[in-house]
Amino acid sequence: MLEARGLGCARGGRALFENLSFAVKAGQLWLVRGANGSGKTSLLRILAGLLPAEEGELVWSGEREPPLWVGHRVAVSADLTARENLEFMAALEGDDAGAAVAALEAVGLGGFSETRAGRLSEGQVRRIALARLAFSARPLWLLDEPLTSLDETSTRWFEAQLLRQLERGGAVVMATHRELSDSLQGWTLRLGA
Amino acid sequence: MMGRIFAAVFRREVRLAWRRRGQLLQPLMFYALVMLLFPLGAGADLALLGQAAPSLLWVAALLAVLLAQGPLFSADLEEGGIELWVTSGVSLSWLALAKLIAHAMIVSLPLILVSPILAGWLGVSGEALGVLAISMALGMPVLCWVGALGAALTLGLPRGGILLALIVLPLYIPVLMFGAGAVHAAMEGRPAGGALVLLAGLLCLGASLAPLATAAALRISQE
Repeated sequence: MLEARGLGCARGGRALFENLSFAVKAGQLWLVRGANGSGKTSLLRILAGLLPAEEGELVWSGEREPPLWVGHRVAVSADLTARENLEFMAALEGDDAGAAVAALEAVGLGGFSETRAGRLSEGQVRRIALARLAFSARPLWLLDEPLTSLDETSTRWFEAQLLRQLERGGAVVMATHRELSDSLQGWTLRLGA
Repeated sequence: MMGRIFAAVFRREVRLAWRRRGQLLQPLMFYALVMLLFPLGAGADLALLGQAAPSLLWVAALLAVLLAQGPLFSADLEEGGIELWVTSGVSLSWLALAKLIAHAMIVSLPLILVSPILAGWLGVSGEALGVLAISMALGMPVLCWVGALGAALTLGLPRGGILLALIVLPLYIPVLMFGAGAVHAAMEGRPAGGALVLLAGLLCLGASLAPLATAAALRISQE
């Protein structure tokens, strides 16, 4: 699906990683691990096309399809309700509003769909953003610390979505410090080692 | 599909503007206050007021528009909305076009609507009021779009507001000259059409170039 050849990245005059090569294939889960500041976010931003690759190149097999990106900043507007936020995200992907409402139910936010995101907790806001996983048909998911401030129920729901994505031939690259359940076997990319 | 995305961005902007309507009130208040205070300071010389009215209305409206630019993309940057746009696979210029059209409407409409009232207060009347409204309807969107480009270019910079004004104000000058010129001409009974046509030209130029330039600036802001 996506091959990285000799990727390198320097931020603020300091080399974060060099000569990083790996190939993400359909059905694969890649976990990016490393200490704080080791370049996990930068790597994911390069894969998402938000940062240009200073060294090396990204080669897409087949057509380059836009990834699903959930970063640290989850693109949920505090002044819109949970439903309005998710409907907008669905519209950008070409999905209709019904998908958004169903997804909110799935992440357990059905009762908060008309509440402004600014009044929700951090974990609930993250769940709004992750609810996209329920309807997204994008082949590659790029997730930066998606488990931050998620409770156990939501973590299990999240892992189920990952499994579903992998089983239908999608791929996931995610940065995380947490351990995933044993049913999810992935490749590990350790930065700063 | 593209039309639906355009509508979704437009609806989101209008909704956000309504929820944050306090932010919109600030430029409007500024505009109204300048117009109400100036005659009090200038004294009862009606001839002088009439002479100064077109430029005064336009300068105050221009600065009011500038006030509305600073926060345009800041929430989107902080909350990650721009990342969502850039990674969405939808043409960034298309998204920017929808946002810019909504932005121009939201900022310009209230200012255009109060202008005839404030102009009446300064002694502008008759045909000149109509020319003022038309010149503002043509010129204000240009001011909004140039300002939005400036806001996108200075996004995330500390004290970006000063830089924004420095980038934007030179580009505002033609709009100010043609806008105030049209109203002047109408007040003196000269034809105002030429200046209005030039404003319409600037509007077309802005509508075609601003989305492309803003999209490029937003992309750079992520690096």
